[in-house]
Amino acid sequence: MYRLFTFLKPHKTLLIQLIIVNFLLSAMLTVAPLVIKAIVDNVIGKQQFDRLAPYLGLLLLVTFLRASATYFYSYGQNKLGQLVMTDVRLALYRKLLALPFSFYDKEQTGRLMNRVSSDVESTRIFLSQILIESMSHFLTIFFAAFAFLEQDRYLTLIAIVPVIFSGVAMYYAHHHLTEPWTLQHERMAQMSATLQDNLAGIKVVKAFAQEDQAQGRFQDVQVAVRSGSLSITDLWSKRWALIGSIPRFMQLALILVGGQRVMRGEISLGTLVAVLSLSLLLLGAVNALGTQLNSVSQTATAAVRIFELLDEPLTIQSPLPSSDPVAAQSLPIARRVDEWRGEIEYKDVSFIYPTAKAKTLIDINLHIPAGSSLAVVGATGSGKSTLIHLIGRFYDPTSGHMQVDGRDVRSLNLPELRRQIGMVAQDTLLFSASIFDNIAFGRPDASQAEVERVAKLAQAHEFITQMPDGYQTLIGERGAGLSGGQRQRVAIARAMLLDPRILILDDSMSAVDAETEKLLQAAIASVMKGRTTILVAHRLATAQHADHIIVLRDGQIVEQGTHAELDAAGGHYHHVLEMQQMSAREAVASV
Amino acid sequence: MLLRGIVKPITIADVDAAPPMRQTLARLFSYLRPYRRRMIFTLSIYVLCVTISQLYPFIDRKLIDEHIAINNPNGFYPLLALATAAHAFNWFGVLIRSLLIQRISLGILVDLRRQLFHHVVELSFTFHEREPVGKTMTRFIGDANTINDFLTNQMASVVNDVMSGIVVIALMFAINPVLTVISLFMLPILTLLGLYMRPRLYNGWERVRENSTRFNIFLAENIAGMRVIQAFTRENTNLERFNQANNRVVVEWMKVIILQAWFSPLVELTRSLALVVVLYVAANQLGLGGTALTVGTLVAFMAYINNLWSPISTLTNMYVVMQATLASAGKVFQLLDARPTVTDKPNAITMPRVKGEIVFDHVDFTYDNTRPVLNDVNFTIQPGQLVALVGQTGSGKTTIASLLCRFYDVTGGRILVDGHDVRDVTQRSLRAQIGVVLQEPFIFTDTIANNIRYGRPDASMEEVIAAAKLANCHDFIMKLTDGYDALAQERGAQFSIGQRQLLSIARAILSDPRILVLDEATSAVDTETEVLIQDAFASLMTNRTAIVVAHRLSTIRKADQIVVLKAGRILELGNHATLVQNPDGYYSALVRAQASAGH
Ligand SMILES: Nc1ncnc2c1ncn2[C@@H]1O[C@H](COP(=O)(O)OP(=O)(O)OP(=O)(O)O)[C@@H](O)[C@H]1O
Ligand SMILES: Nc1ncnc2c1ncn2[C@@H]1O[C@H](COP(=O)(O)OP(=O)(O)OP(=O)(O)O)[C@@H](O)[C@H]1O
Ligand SMILES: [Mg+2]
Ligand SMILES: [Mg+2]
Repeated sequence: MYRLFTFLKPHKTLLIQLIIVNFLLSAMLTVAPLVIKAIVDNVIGKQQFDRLAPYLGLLLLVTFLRASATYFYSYGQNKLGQLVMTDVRLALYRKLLALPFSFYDKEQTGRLMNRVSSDVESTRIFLSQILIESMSHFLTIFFAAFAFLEQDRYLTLIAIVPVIFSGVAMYYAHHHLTEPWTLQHERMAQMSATLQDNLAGIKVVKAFAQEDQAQGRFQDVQVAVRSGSLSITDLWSKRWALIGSIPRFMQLALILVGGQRVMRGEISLGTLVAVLSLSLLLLGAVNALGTQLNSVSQTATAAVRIFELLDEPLTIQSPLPSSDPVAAQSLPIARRVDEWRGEIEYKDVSFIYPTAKAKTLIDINLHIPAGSSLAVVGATGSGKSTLIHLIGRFYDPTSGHMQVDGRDVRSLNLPELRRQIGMVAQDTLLFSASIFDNIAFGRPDASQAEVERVAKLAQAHEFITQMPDGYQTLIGERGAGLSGGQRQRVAIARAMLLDPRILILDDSMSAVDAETEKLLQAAIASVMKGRTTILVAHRLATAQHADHIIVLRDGQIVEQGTHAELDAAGGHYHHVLEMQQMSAREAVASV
Repeated sequence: MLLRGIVKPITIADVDAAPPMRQTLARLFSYLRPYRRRMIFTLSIYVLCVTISQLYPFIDRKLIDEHIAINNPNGFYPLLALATAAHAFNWFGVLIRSLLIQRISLGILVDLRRQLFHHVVELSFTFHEREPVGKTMTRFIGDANTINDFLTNQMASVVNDVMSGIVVIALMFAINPVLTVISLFMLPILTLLGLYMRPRLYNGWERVRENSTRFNIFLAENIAGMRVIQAFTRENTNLERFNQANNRVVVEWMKVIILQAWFSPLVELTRSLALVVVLYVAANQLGLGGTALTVGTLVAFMAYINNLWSPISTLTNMYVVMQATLASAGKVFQLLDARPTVTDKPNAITMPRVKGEIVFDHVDFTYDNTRPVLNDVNFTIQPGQLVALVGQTGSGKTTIASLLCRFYDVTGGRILVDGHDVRDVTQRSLRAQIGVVLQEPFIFTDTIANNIRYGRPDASMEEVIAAAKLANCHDFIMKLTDGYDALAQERGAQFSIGQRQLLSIARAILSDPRILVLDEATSAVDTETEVLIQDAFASLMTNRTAIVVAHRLSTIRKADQIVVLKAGRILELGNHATLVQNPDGYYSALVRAQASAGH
């Protein structure tokens, strides 16, 4: 919770200004009753009505000052809130940008969104509003107490004890609310996640006519949110009813004791009147503090969640320039590699997903010379995608070394490394933007001519120009509005635009018909001459032209060589080739 | 009207720009209807509490004037005791009403969200393809909360404030009518100002909502697409975009704040003015007669002015907040008013058990009313047949599958299943008998077992395992720590793409459909597994109709009918034997191309 205040540091000046204004506001608030007391005692009591005007003038002046200060405060406080919120959000987003794939494997979009929106929102309200206002209420209490002292020590005591009692009660109420709020944030995150999941999968929901099931699920989580809310508000209401009732009791006590003292002639009637109007102030301040209590608990727990995310370890990042000279020596400094060649080497690489039971890759040793092409084949789940994700350091091997151009990837500048890699991932993900922006995703400054060139290479130009707005056609989230094969080709164009040293195609033509695939392959081969290409494929016809082919099974390389070698070896590759050709041969035979 | 002469006139344009407040409000209040009784009860408690607490200054005045000031302890203590009892009672009332109002409030929120969800799942594909997930989510979370807060807490506080205002004014009248009228002279001016500000504030808040929705859309898409962002080292560009999106929210927000920040100081100011005027007049009265006014009256009056202005200032605040609520409500109602493009006819029948005859009768289709996607597609499938759809990418294969499931409505011609036009039967009864494997597999964040039994939630574990075995999923599922009870990550992140396809196939198998639609269901699966699945299907598909979209010959060859599509038209139609007869045909070319591969 206290760490939250670090977000206020950059806005110190504004914060201090606001606190001062608030201080003034509270001070001015106590001035009015004093003026009124003076009026009662000096003007009315002494029947000197000609002296009224200056007092009223003073009263008006004070109010006017207060009004201006209120305006400034309200503006400044909103500004501070927005500034702080921007900072927190930015910090979170930066973090999200840096977190590795393994983080996204276990997190859910809906939950993360909940953090960046709801959790941040409650910190905004807290830091910009509640914090300063509480301060002002404390100040009000302080001033009122001071003003009380001026009036009568005895009555002060009556006023102070309940205030202290309220303070203690509030502290405990906050304490009791912490755990329910922690649970509640989790429930709200769950609701957000369920909603997100069902909306993202709405096609499946509808295809299986399971609208009712989806609704049932959502209803479950939102009812859980309701029960959580109820238990919190009930808890809070009970505490709050108690705390909120104290000031009036205090007032009655003041009348009792004060009245006796007035009647005994120990204090003036004016004093009692002033004390009572001061007690109104106290009442207001305590009330306000009480109502904010719930938000304080809410924020304290939201802050924990925000920092949890901010503290998530960055397991994959560029090597930091170490300050310790010895460590700096042993760890090669990340440097810009100006001349990338695109040579890749796996040295005894093993990999296990953090959540998995068994290793996904086992002792992979593989050398891909710069400028050569490699085809990876193997059964579903054999580790092909995992293998290629290690090159761009989307995951780090659990043991062994991954080298690019003879250097361990962990010693290389990460963005620089990734910029050399054009990756067409297996699940094509496009963004809701124009087709142009999607192709230019990795190089937003690309010209129309460049984009068209790669679109032509990727066999995408033709269908794009047939669209109503051509390259400016907007597509929906994840590429809605394009057919599967069209999406894949846009993704290929997107990778080609990078003009990468290393091109990785992870089963990227699976939804493309054979005819188009042939054209595509020829185009890729021509552009990638002299570049390193890695190709994952199930159709061996796609793989056969590669310089080197590896066959993966259960995370191990079981066969490797050229197409001819593997075909001759009569192993798994040969077997699959047979299967694939058989049907075609039979088909031709029947012609 | 009065204002027109004084301040800048309210132009017609301003009034137009403001939304029909009354309609929106009426619609908002309709959510209170089921809670009418409870709300009335709760509000009566509010009124009771307010009345009691407004008696406080009255009692205090009595205590001071009739006892303390004239030194009369007789009856002082009983009155004080009464005051204490009244407060204790009030305290209890406050507790009860806050417990009650929360229940109503959360009830309404749950109702609203349920209605929204119900509506959203009924909306057609067209809607979901157009509307980003982040946008719809904003309606559920941010906007629904705003509306809910307005309907309960703020409505209660309005009632509270109006009631206390009335009580205060009545009491003030009872004490001194002249002073009362004097202290109320500021009210009409405040009202007029409020009316003048309304459209400006509304539009301001509307822009804030608009921009924060955009921010949420951006965020949701970015989180979901983070892998691509990192792979393309787009971090800096997106950081910049993030900043822009965020700043637009901030800028719009601050614009509204500038508009509304002077509102509450203004209210403060009027309060002081009233106080000053009252004091002035009162002092003169005291000075003149001395009998008309007592010090106690003055004290009570000052307290009442305070008490009167605090509801006024919350009411003005409310008024401001209400504009934000109306902006949110407008957005929510806009979503609720979106009509599904595919709807059941009022007299739609439940699809009887499907035998499996499918007729595409001169079907035309377009997604966007400009580009025809299917043109005069005409073919008939007999019950139990296996039909393969082949053709270049983008030729309309997926579209045909979608039309059969009635995810969209044809723009020309008709589709008959067992002689029933798909538009004459209910969507659910039709889809419940079709098992689809969509081209893009989707896995829910739920257990593996629940994912497989998604189409038939009551399926037993044995059935789940049997389907998984048929789809070749069993082995890799058993390798997971919790087996079938393992939780799938978002979209099945811990599975390879081929494995996700296999899971989707298991799901379709288990739904025990009469018609099976496989849209490139094994495109990411290796040949050996594919062959295994084909064999499994061969036995499974007896008596069922299947439509298969595939590029691989091995699948296509066995089909009873092959539909070759090109640019939305049927190019060739027949089975393998008849199609290869035409050496110049697309299909023959396809066969030759695949046969030559590998040599
Ligand atoms: N939701 C949509 N909105 C607008 N246009 C669409 C939509 N879905 C597909 N299209 C367009 O309709 C045409 C046919 O698409 P469809 O998805 O049916 O092709 P397909 O034959 O399945 O191709 P593929 O083999 O690549 O999956 C394409 O030109 C595509 O751009
Ligand atoms: N993020 C992850 N967390 C845990 N396990 C994973 C994760 N991603 C993949 N796996 C597991 O690792 C194994 C290899 O997956 P990978 O995606 O590399 O397979 P693949 O060879 O690319 O398969 P496909 O041909 O289906 O794409 C699979 O068993 C899969 O279940
Ligand atoms: Mg893969
Ligand atoms: Mg398709």
